[in-house]
Amino acid sequence: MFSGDSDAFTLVTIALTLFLVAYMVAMSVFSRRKELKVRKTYTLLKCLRCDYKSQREFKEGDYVGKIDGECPKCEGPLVVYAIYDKEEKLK
Amino acid sequence: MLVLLILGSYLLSFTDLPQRMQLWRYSSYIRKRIVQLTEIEEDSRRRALKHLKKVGSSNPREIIDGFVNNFFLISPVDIEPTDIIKRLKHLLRGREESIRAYVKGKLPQADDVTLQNSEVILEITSILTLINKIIKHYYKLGLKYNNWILMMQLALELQQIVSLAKSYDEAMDSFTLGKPVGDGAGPLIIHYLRGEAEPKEVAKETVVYSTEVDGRKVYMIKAEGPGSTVGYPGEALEKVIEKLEGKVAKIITVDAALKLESETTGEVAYGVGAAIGDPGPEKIAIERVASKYSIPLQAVVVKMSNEEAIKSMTKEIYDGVLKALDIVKSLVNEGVKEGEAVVIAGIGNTVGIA
Repeated sequence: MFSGDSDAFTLVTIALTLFLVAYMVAMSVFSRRKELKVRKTYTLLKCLRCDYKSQREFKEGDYVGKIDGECPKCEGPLVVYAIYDKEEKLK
Repeated sequence: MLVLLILGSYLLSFTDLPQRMQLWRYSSYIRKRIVQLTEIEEDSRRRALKHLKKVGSSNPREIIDGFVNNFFLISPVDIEPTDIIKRLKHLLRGREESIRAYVKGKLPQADDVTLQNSEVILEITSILTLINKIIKHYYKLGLKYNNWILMMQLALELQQIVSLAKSYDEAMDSFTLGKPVGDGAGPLIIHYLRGEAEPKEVAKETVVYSTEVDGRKVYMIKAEGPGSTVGYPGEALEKVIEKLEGKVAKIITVDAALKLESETTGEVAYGVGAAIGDPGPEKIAIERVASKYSIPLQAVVVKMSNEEAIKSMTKEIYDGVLKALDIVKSLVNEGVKEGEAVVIAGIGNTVGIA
């Protein structure tokens, strides 16, 4: 009777330890996955004459409404249409 | 052994030892958060120093030290509410003017956009210092009087406060680089609606554009960009409507709105009222002029969190702006006859948006 109780206690302790180890491993993997994301700022350019659109990384001095060169398609004025942050996975 | 433990716990409940232990536990937690807040404050100072050096200041540390802790505003008397809005407006404008004079005096070579952005950067540094000081104040007060309830409340609130402080610190990037922020949703919609229309200054740092949409005359108000300012949209709207002698079919306000935790960023909703989050003078100006001429007042909002409103605009908010733009366009035609006028006000900070 006494040895039976002791075995059960050992089993419960082992199971609990295994569960805790599994939980800690899962949490560390999960938190690592979270860290692999990065925020980048993009500038969306649009041509005022045709339907040309392009996206590039934000440069200091960009603002919405700024004329930023010529359209490679029709040579019309390219305007900064939007600036926004996007979350991306780190390569 | 077990009986002794139970008995010991029972006897402990008649003493204040458990509360004392909680006080130690919470105070240790608060100390760690204060260290975090101090690091955030120092980081904001470093960023402000870097920005001020970049825009040509030879004594940036002196500018920051002269700004932080100063320029407070004492609320007007509210037990006598008569003319409280007039008094509040007077105080707010006075504070803004003295801040502008201070920054202009320290950066005489800077253009308007740099001055506006520098003001916001100094304000953020000042806010972070104030948050840190208030937390330290309650922490010391809790320790002084062994007030474990105060310590517990402070510890429970701190996670949210630290998160907000981090957002303010990260938001500094937007203002140093001139990137649009989440709160810029309203001005961005006006930017898309105005097309080729030319701006006319109607109030300080606030412009109006006029154009025609499907035979309806549309007047659009926003703060003058691309510097960091919210302008005076209430005063501007009042002036435009008075100039039109109240002959306006509809007023539409567009703004960013705080989302509930269950809502997603970029959700768009519309309703009735003035969508504007100022302390009072601008909002009441819109409500008063709308009720004076019985003009329907509609509101369109793009939802986001407090943190998202002050940080760089996200793609989710930009998508929300495009959805809100469609709603505003449909509201312009809804119940408005050809030849009638509509006034739209895009409320929010116009940093990075011309």
